[in-house]
Amino acid sequence: MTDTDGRSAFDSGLTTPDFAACLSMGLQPVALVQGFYVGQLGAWSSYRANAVHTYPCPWGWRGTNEHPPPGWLGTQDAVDEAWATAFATAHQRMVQEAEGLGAHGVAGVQVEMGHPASEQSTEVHLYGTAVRLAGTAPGSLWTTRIAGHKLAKLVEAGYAPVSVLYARCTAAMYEGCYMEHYGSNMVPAGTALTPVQDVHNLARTRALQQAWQLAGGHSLYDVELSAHEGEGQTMYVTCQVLGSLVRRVRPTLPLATPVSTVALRD
Amino acid sequence: MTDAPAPRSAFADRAHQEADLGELGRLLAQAHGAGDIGRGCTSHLSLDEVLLLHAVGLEPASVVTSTSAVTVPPGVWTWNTGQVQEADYAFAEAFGVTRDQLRVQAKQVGALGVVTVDIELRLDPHRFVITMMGTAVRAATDEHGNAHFPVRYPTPFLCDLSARDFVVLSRSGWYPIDLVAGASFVHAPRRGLGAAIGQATQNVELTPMTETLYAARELAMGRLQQEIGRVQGTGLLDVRVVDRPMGFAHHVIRFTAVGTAVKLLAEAHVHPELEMVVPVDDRVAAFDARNLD
Repeated sequence: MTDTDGRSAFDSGLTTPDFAACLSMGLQPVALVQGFYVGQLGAWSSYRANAVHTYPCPWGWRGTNEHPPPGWLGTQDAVDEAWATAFATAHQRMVQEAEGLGAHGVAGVQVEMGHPASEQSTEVHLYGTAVRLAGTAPGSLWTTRIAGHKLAKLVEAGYAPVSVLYARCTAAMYEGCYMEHYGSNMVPAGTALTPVQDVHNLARTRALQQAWQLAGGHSLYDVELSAHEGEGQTMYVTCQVLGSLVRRVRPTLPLATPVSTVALRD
Repeated sequence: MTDAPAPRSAFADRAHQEADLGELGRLLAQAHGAGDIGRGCTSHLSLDEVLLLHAVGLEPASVVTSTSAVTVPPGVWTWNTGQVQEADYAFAEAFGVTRDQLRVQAKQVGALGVVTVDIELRLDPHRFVITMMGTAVRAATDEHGNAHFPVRYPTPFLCDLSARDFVVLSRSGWYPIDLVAGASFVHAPRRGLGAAIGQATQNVELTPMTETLYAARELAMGRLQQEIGRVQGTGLLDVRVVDRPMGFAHHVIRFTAVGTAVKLLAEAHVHPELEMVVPVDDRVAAFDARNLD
């Protein structure tokens, strides 16, 4: 696409209101920048778990061939590392593309993650609009999922964008004979199903801990936390955290006190 | 992987030369070299919600989450009459434990309470799994280190109200106390074979089902009232009611009610001053080609 001067025009993923808000902040869209990564999970990644806890047989059986092995709780670090690498690489590629254009930041970053071919494949696609702060020398480049008037509000409130952040944890629980015991009439109603609780809490807690570590003292806003449970004899719970890291650069919040309103709308 | 950079846009070049950053742009430019202020946090609130909370003296501290799973013994869903007491107990236990764990986490991060708690109820035949997730909030401090949130909670409050609802509520002098729930599972009695055959061609009320719904409701709402009393609340807001047959046992009626217990903690109720707003962005009636048909 060329403009009337014969030079290339900017492209962007901004909506019209986002574009207007960026202009009001002196942010000029430069180009739609993207980062891709397609990878493969190693053949054994999905089956390797680092056990953090075992559940002994509640009936006290041990070491017989007829009896299932004891249950365990663990994390699938190889799978999580593969996704973390995929995200970090795609993010870095997007940043490099923006830096090459002399941009100050990438606003409105969209994140798409999935399995392009099979369960063993990973694909991460990040794209956003590289923006320049007119008349300012490039510094360290920021990325954020926020754009438009929300970005303006963020800046007005004393914050500056830092980076898009992604963290995850896949926890696994092999039930062994433990769940059989819970499913029997020997256990009264309302008894804590410890292994199920543990696998859910481990996935969520570890993912949030990892996010804290990656945040490095900054604040993580607009966190999307999703958990998915896969059920079988081994129960998997995957928790993913996606958000925008911001840092506070001004102490006061020059914001008006909220006013309650009644809208006369049909 | 570094492809050749795309040509810089003509628009950006021109704008770069004609720089007029405006107030926000200047703030953003200053932020480039500025150091960090304040404490880090994680929050699943939107930016609007964070700013609203700031206005009442709160700031996000950390995302907190907890899950509780409890057993439901086999056989409790088979045809029977009356309450399914095991299920009632299991629900109360799972809800209570999840709530307590969330409060412990809030306490660990030094929070005053947790707002916008998402509650996920998974009621399977042999287990009830309840998950809660919310953003723990703490008192925001000014540059002198002074906090301005007016209420001192002895233990962190929990609420499923949005930040906007929280602000509206607190500006009226009311504050959330705790999450409360009441649940009841009741068997609907079968019609007799004769009645079923006799009514097969008629439009009739299924009286046993209606009565079971009433019974389940009475029990659940009674428990809800007990819970509100236990936490010394004076009311309940944002209650979400589910009353329907269980998917895996159609003859059992489930009635669950979950909400936030609130209390007037200011000296008196403050009537909010409402400003009238007339939006001027209504949809405009436009030409529709179908009108020509």
